[in-house]
Amino acid sequence: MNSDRRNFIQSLAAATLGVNVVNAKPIQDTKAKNIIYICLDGGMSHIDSFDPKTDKEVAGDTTAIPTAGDFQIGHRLPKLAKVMDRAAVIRSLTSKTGAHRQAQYLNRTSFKQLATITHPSLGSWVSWLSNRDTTIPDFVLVSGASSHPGSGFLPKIKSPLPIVDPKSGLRNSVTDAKLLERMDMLRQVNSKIQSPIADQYNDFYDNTVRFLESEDLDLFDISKESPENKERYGNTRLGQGLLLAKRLVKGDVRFIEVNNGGWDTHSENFEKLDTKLKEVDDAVSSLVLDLQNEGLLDSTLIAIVTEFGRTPKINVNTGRDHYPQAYSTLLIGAGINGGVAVGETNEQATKVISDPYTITDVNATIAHLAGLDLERSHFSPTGRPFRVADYGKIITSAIS
Amino acid sequence: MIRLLFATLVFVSSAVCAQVSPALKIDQLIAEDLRGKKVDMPVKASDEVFVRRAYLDIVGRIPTFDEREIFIHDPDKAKLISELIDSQGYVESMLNFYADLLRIKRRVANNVPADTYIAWIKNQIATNVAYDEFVKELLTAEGTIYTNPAAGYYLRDEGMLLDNVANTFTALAGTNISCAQCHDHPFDEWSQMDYYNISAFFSTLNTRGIAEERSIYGKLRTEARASDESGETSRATNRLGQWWAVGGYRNTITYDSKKFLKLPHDYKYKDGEPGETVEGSAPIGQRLKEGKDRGTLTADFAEWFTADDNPTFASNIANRLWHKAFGFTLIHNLNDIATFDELKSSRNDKLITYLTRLIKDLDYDTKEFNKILYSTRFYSSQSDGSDEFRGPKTRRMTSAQLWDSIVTLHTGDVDAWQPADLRDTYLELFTDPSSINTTTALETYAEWQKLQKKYYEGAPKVGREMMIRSSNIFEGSASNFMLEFGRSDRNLIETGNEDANITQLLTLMNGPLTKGLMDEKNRIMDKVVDLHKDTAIEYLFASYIGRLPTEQELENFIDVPFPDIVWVLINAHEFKLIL
Repeated sequence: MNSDRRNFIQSLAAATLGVNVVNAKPIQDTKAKNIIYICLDGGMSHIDSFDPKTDKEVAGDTTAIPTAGDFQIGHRLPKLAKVMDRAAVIRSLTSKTGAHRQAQYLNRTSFKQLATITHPSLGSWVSWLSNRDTTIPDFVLVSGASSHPGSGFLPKIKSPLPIVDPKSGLRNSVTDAKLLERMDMLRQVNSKIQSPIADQYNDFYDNTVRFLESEDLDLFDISKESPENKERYGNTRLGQGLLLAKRLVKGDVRFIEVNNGGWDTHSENFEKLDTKLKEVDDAVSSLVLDLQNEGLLDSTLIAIVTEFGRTPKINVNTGRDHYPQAYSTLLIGAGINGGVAVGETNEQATKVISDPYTITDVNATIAHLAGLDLERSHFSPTGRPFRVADYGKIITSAIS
Repeated sequence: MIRLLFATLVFVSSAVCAQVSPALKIDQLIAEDLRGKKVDMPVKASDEVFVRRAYLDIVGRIPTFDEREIFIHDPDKAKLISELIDSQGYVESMLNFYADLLRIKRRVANNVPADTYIAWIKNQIATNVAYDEFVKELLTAEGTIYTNPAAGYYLRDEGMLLDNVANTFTALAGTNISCAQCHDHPFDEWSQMDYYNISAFFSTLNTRGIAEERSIYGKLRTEARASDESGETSRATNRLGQWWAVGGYRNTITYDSKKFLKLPHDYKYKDGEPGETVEGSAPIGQRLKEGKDRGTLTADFAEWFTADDNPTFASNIANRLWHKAFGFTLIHNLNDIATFDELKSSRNDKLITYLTRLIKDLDYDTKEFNKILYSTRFYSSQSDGSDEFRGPKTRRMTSAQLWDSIVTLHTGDVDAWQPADLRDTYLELFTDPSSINTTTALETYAEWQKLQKKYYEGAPKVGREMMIRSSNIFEGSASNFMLEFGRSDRNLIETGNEDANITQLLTLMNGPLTKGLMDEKNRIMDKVVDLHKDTAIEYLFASYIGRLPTEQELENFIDVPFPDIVWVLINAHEFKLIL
């Protein structure tokens, strides 16, 4: 690695290792202070979720139901329907990428995947550009895969803090009673070493211990939630993930990405969606209501994105295949023009007929609401210029 | 008296002028540069610091208690360096170096196993094949991953030729031409046309197998599908496809002189039209032009690329090996040392020029080059936190050094387990497909699966973790610890890092490997339990942090239970830092 960059990271590390997350400097002048970015991996059917159709050939058994907003959604999302007055649905997403891995990468980074560079994911951009002094990174990744692009070419300190399983919380965070006693002995041994890097580690250890001894650790522990709450969000990976996300928002972590698989419904599309959409319905509606009740929905933006849509034609296995030509995304909460539908597909849901957008535009909109400057170029260590959300357009009709 | 003085003078002057050893020459160039900055040469490090550092840098792990003792009692540095460079640990440590540089994974080209490629690289290191020859083998590989394991290099980027070309330049010439893949380079002189002119040398490369073999596979596949549909077999088509892939047939490398490279559909410059065929020529030195014989394009390229007058090929490897030894680079960015054909500014121009010439003069003998670097006085100096030649850089162990050191603490010998090199077995298994029918193909595949399952057979374990060398661990959950500590994901060149984060500290404080070290069943715990407490504490300090406890420390720890001492030592700066 470039050593100028390394020095820079070290000075950055030194600067970041001072304060606890709770004391982090507040986010100012932005609509979306906190962001929950939900990636439904595998490709969620647009027709059965946010873009329902009347033609039976296309819709299968999915029917449209009214919502609190100015649009209808699929009948498998009845609880979510009631909070759509706070949401904008974008039904005119289109993409050229119909392969899972490439689409996942594009969603998270806004760039096409290349073999010569890794672009930062949106969470790392937000965390990097907010540049707050926190012990817990400003970007937490729940149920992420190891192929996640992470901080890309940004300093590794902006990598997401991984929570592999929301139920077990932060890995290796259980300490025994002897921690403080051992730390005293450790400090004595370490006092022999005089070096800037040793000083940084001293601070880092002290902060970590303070964190382990503090109530902040509880942010990661969803067992502290009442059984009723857990029930409401659903005893599912997504439900637990969003319950954790809610706690982290309350702890002022800026960007929480929650990943959820199982959407690749090549066969038994409708049966699978009975389960999968119910997970979304329970978890997201509970999250929206909780944030609203706690007064946090005005400053928290929730995004639901997916890899691509699925074929309007139902295949022989009653499944739907990959369909990047048209799909939907949902934005809820902070800065969002609640209750509106942006763009539309034709009656067969085969193509976008108005206001076409891409995932890059969605990311640009989120980044804009998070207060990031989309016009500014940032340079990779090899001097290549990049912009957050790669020249994506802000979807103005979706924001208030 | 005068005669004696005279004799001394003659001795000194001949040492300086006539036969200065390369190591001394390096020290002189550093000293000269420091003198200009009015800085003294750094002070010598203690033997105990040196032995730990040499083990970590040369063989990738801390020394055991005994290894440390041997050196302290007979501190012969030259002997130690020679022994380490000739050991298996050097091979493993250099494999990690090449694996990060060449982005080696255990699977290449959509499920072709790279085991033979990896074993081949280890062999190249062990037998000290000249580095330029090694690179030429990579760039001219032909055949399957079994008949010619070097094929792994091209198969790593199968289907992404243009990316492979950019990666070759970055990894092996320290030159970043990737911008020019899509447009003229914004600051360097590389144009998009240059990029295509270079890439044209790879235009004949075909990684999609041999036509006759493909038609045999087509027939077998039709049979398999029919038998699947009749219900006679289940998923035979799929298994046959796997046989075709893992057998190396699908991605046999050949050269097709009728294949050409064309400019992209969105080519926007005046010097060419979209879709136009590109003839190869090299912008650097203008010496290389595609000849009439399109059968030797990659060989022509490889000759030119590794030639003595290509200024960046030698500097690149010199800069990277320097970085591996000293923890800082001579030319700032490892992956971007040259603009077009000129080196970028370095921290010591004379030194990089000298090292570039040295590695050429050594005919790319990397063992000898490394031996020289480690034999410098500068290498045995006290370390320093800066990149300013105040000593080797004080740095955190790499993820691999950390892992291999912890494995050493657990097992005492990190290299005891080695994967079997099954190349001969595979060559027998995956013979000429023309003599194969569907049944034997499926049997062969089943046999291969069995062998693959046995890859890690016999590896010692602590809990769920395999206690084996980092260099034998590739993608997958076994690499999680190292990924957490900044191991390169090997998607991009040399992206490993030693930055700290909270999950690393939590792992060192509370993770399963730390708990394992604190367990009474641990090798070192078992050793110290019967020792006198003073001796036991000394043994623990020497094993973990490479020094004996001070009197004060002995006093402090005398009543502390062993597991707590171990916890302190594994978390100590002196453990994770290379001083």
